[in-house]
Amino acid sequence: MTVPLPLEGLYLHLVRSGFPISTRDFEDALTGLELGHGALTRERLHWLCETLWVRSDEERVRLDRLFRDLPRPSDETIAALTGSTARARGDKKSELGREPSEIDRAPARAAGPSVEFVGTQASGVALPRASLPVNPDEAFILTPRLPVSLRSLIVILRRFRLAKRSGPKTELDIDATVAEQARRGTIVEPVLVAARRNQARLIVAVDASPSMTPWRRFYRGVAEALERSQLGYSALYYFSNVPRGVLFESDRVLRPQSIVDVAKQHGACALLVLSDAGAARGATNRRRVEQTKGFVSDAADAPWRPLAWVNPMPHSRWRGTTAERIAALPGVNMFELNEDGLVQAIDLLRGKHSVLAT
Amino acid sequence: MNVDIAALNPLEAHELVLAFAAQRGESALRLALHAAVPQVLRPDLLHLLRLNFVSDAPSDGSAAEADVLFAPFCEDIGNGYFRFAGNARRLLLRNLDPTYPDESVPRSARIGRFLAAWIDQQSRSAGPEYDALYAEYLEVERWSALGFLDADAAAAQLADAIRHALAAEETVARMRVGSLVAALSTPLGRYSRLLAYAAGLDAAQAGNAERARDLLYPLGKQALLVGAVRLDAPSEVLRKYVGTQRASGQRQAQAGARESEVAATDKPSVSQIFDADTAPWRPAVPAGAIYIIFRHGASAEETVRLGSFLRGRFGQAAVVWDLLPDELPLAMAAAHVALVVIGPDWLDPDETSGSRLPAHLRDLEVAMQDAIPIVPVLVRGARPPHPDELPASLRPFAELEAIALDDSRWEADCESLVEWLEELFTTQTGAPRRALATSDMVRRPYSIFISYAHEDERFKDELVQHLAGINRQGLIASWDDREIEGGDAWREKINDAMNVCDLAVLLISPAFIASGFINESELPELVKRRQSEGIRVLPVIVRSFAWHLEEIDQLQVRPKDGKALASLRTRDARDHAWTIIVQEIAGWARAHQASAGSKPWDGVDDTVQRPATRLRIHVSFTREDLAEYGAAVVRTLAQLGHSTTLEDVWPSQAPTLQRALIDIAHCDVFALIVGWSYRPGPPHNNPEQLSIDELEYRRARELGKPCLVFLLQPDPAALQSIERDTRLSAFRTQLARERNVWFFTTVQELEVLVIDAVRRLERDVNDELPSSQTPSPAASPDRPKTRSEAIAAAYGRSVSGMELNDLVVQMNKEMNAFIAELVAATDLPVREGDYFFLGRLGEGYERYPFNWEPFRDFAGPLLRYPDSIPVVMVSALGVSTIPPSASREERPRPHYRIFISPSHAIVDIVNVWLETLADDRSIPQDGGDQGYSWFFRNLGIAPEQLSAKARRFVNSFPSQPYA
Repeated sequence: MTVPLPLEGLYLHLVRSGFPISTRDFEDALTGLELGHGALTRERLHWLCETLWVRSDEERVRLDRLFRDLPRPSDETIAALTGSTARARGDKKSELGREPSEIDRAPARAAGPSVEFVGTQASGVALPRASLPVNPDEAFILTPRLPVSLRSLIVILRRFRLAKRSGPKTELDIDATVAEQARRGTIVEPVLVAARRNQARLIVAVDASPSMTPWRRFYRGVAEALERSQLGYSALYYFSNVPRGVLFESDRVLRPQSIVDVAKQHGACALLVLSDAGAARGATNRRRVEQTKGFVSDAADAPWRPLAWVNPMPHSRWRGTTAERIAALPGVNMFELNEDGLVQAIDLLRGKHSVLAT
Repeated sequence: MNVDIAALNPLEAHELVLAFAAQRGESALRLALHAAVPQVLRPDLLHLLRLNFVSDAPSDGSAAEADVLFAPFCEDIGNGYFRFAGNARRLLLRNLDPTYPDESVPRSARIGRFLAAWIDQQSRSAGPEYDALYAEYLEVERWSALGFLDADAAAAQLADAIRHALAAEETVARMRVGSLVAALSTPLGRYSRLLAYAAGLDAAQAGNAERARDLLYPLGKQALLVGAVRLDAPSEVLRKYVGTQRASGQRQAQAGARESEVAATDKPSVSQIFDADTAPWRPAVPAGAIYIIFRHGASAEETVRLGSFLRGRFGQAAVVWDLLPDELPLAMAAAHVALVVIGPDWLDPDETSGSRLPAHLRDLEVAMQDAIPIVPVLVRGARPPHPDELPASLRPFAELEAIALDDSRWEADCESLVEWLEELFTTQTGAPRRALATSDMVRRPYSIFISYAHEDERFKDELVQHLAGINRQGLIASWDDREIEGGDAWREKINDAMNVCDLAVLLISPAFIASGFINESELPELVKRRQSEGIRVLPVIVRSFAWHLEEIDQLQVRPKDGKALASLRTRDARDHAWTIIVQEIAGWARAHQASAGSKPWDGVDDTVQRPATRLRIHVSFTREDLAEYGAAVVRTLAQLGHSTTLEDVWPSQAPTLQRALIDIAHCDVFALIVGWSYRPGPPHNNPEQLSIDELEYRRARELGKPCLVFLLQPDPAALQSIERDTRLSAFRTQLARERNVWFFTTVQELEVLVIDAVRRLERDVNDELPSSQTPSPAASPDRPKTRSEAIAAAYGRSVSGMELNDLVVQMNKEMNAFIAELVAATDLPVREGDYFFLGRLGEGYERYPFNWEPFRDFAGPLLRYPDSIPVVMVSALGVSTIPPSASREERPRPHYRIFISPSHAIVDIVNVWLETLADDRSIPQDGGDQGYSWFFRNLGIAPEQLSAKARRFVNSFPSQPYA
């Protein structure tokens, strides 16, 4: 049985929770430990990890949080591990085991007469402004996270490749050129061919109904990822619950266009649908299933196929809802909205049926 | 879901939160706890709350966000803003900090810090959502954050702001402090007077004089002192904004005089704003124990006067009345007694409440459901309400003895009320909480209204004849023709009869449907009463008709096969059909009597039923393996209208055992679900290393609480993996010896059993019998019917799973004889001392091979019926399997199985069983004299209920042909 490396648990935990560090960072930390940095106390270890691993404010907050939540080992354990004397331990504790400070009550009390009123346009009446104490030492995550990070999303979309030569002839065809020279025996013009381009065509249809509210911030990520995905051709449309004959250009479901028009505009494409299919509210709606069936056949006529459906609700929550029935419709393959699910969805779109989720 | 979220009362909110927790699980509940801190939610804010505080759920995290946003108590108020129902938010907030007991900074304060940081960031970054509405939203949340961070500072700042607004006279056009009250009501709970002041000021500035008076008048004439801020006396504010045109000058003067008396007796100190902190109160009467219900805008003066008097006697905290009907918690949960102040205008119609009951009557309804003692207090010479003036659910209220407070003898009258209350609180040991439900209610016979078209009179006559029998028993109200007559004559009398009936029988025929009168007035009225008051409407098809009536389609028609009575040729057949209908009616009438005048059961549809007595039930189960079952029990109990101790589903990290033991002491009933795990409880005070379940059970036994015990039968597929813990076996055996136990396998079964067990308990409570540990198998014939309609429908009369069980127990002797016959007929090698087992298996059982061994545990408990040979026997398959553990037997033997399952009607079981026997070649088909017919007669199964194959089989025994 092998003894685990120091810090291994911490490192693995961070990696699993999506912290962007690599084996290289881990090795750096080990080297640091060997050189005597970060040993003996939790605070110094924290300092070491922060120095080596943290690349943004947000990452620092997360690391702080982790260290704070980690249960403090008993004094006996520390003594056994470090062999340091009780006295030294006591000193460190008073210095480092600082309790979070009490809430600062002073400013509000002392603030006295100065009350700020905020006239707001919304209601036309004044609202007094509460003066909040200065943010105490606890740091918080204030940036929302996407269910799939933008970077992963772009990487996954780039899996969707269908490289063919097309367009103007710009690339040197060395084999042909050499063969031509050999045939003629003189220096000739180089032979050019068209460059390989990604011919993958994708339409993404996103459900912008109220039940998708929790994932609204993901829409912008999808739009940006599509732009940067180097797809041959892509378009983004929205619908509300079920696309019934029309798709919308904006996520506020404005500017409708009939599917027939959209089909004329874009021609044959693969179709990726992002919708909870009724799983978020957890109800079953037979009509919605029927309407979805209609849409699936419309899409197949468009012709947009194959169709991959990505559902932000986890698979376990489809059961007993409309989503379960929709997932079972012929021509629909439904995946969870996470990296694995998206990879499977894209693989399906590029024709690898073997990895279908069941 | 058609829930009016804004108007949820605390009980409804409690039930919705419980259901949410049971359905969506712990991480969603934890997120909801956190999300209650901001007054209004945004999806992004919710997301960040999850990342910061509940982030441990990596994969289904955003599902938890969806769960909270779409929770039944959360309202989408448009533009991406969401809001919890006020009472749900308060409930969640009350549980937030106790859920995280080990944190050095309370969780709510940490969320306050987070909110502060978030608001700071949001107001500096002009994101895409940033508009005027959003800016205002952030301002309100700023106050929420401050309230949770530092309530004292928030109160001081709020008071300061109010002072500025008042000082600025007309220049600050309107200050909307009122909108902050909702955000601050929980964190600033101690500053209820300040909140009332702020809300009152807001109402006054908005020109809502009545509400301003309601809020400000009770605050008195002293200036309010909050921190270092001194606010004008509320009466000044009233004078300034509202004027003093109270109903009559004289009463105003009187009220003023009273107010000064009250002020003289109380300490006239401005520091009273901290009333909960400074005022002494007698510990004998718990805080919030006396709850005063009054009509807002009508009886506020008298309420304040009475309340102040009682506060003088019982302490400030003991007496509660509802100043802010929508914004402060209805302290009903803590109330031991409710006083209902009734003025002359108590029952005047209320425009603002629409079709719902007015707020004060809703409060009264809650108090009555809670079954706490209720005292009507008549003021200003009001007379007690007449039963007919009250909605059906409140009618028993009219029967209560009222105390009149006369202006001329005010003190003396109040003294007598105080005396009564003192007596209540010195004697009260929990028993008086039930006083109203049992003794104070008056039994009223079940009254029936028959609606029919004139042409169908002969059917009416037949029904009346059939009803005559139960009428003589006094089960239903006696009538003469005039009262019961329907049809197209005597409209007023019909209306009278219709308005008091508990059951309306509609004799449906083409003529009935064609009758304009019936369709336009009677039917809609009855349907309305059915929805609002829960009366029963029973359509009986007397002649066939071809078209549908929307109102009738919602109801279950009789006869159940939908065949019209007129199509039954013989008088005999019609009598049979009527008998079934009248038996059903008799059952309802008995239930009506048993529930002593409370809302009649509504078994026709599955709406929530209100029991006569609301029981508080502690549900105990091991969370690791039985979470799903426990949640189902809690949910079922809530559906039955009983309350459970909240900790059962609360993800609390507090020392659960102590808390549970306290809960058990305060509950009415202890329910225990035992599965297959036995983990020793905390070592402290626990030398025998008993499990928490067992410790709790012992506690309940010591206290003599009624116990409901549900034992999980093993999933046959998982048998091998069950650890045979001797302590567990001992515990299960002990339970089975001491209690009536129920066995279950699936959640659905457990739900049915819970309904049945609770129904028995209700019956015991209502009969005021001591709840016996083993309900007598010879159950009384007039038990209330269960609502498991599926079984009743198949069986032809109402039979629950447990009743099936009872039937089996009752018929042990016959069963023994039957087994002997079976053994003889099938030539099974059964010897003395062999086990037979009564088992109840769930769905999908046929997929598993049957294993004898684990059922030996159950044989013990069942054998306590001295004559019983518990039988199992089970079989949809008719396949004889060989017990895997047969090695200790000399040779494998076939066995027969009968499934006794609450999800199957006994008729089905018997049919399956007979068909199985018919297919089984080991049974001698040529008979002999082993007839089976006596068995079915004893079960009450009619020959025509047997399937053709089963009948053939039975009849194949020539000596005793069946039917």
